[in-house]
Amino acid sequence: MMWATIVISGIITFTIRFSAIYKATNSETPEWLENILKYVPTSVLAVLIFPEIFLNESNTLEILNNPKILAALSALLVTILTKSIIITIITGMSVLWALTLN
Amino acid sequence: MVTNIRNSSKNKEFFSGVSAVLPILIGVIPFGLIFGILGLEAGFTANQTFFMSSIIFAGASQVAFVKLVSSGTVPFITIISVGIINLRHFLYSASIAKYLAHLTTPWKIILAYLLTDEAYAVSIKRLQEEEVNTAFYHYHLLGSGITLWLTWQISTFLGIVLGQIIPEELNLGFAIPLVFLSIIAPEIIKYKSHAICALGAGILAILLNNLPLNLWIIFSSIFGLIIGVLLDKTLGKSQ
Repeated sequence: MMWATIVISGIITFTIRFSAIYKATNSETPEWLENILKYVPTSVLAVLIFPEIFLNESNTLEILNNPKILAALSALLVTILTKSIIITIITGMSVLWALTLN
Repeated sequence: MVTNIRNSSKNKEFFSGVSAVLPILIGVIPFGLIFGILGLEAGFTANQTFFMSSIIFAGASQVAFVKLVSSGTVPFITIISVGIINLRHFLYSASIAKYLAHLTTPWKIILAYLLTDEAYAVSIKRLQEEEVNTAFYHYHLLGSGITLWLTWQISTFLGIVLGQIIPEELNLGFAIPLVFLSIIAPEIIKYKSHAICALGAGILAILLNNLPLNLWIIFSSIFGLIIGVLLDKTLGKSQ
């Protein structure tokens, strides 16, 4: 039963990922669709980013006393200036560690 | 000669995919370790935990899976929950589909299987770069995908066998949102519509975070798309 649940979950995940790729054709993407799709990275990645920064371990909003906010803001500033992922990670993690590790 | 150029373009894209994904591994490895530990703690066998990483191959939904099952959730609801968490991958799939349209079905199957948040994120970044060869873009996705896949399997395995080897206080998992931030930053700085789209989607994600079945992910993503498209129309070329 457990294996079946795992396998079905896997099949569903694969089907979701495969769905649009499978149907893709070489014809030109209509402009309205292109207008929606260009917001996919911004929208979905923002959805994955915000809770990681602003929610604490018990899933509640933490604005004051939240070192992750300062770490993320420093990382954002550095990424705008350098456009480098690795420098962004180093900055964000260093700020976080400076504020959390004793 | 022509074949050589084609091969070198393939290699170039493949290895640029591999190297683009290396920084993210700082966050992926601890995530895989944690998943391995969580799986055993939740009462799954080592085999079930290990193979979940290749059968499902989607970190957040795997964590949700083991948590749901261990709290007594019925299989049907667990499966639905995994599906909803991973619905966002449909958007990824749609967003890169046109670059993969010319490929054979086996290629499409492999790339779809490898299409994670991280692989998608770095490959989108690649598409924005000038020297990208979009005809061989699929090799970039293959390179990042295989690297992430191997890392995920190995780190799950290490989590199962070794348990907690990296101190939790280091918060290495925070590297993943930092990478995503780095990837969306250029558009956000450049266009108001992208900035407001990110803010709207992100704030809604926080507000809806306690929705059942992790519905917040897909609801907030779609909300962000709507904001983006509406602003695109109103701000248009003025921005």
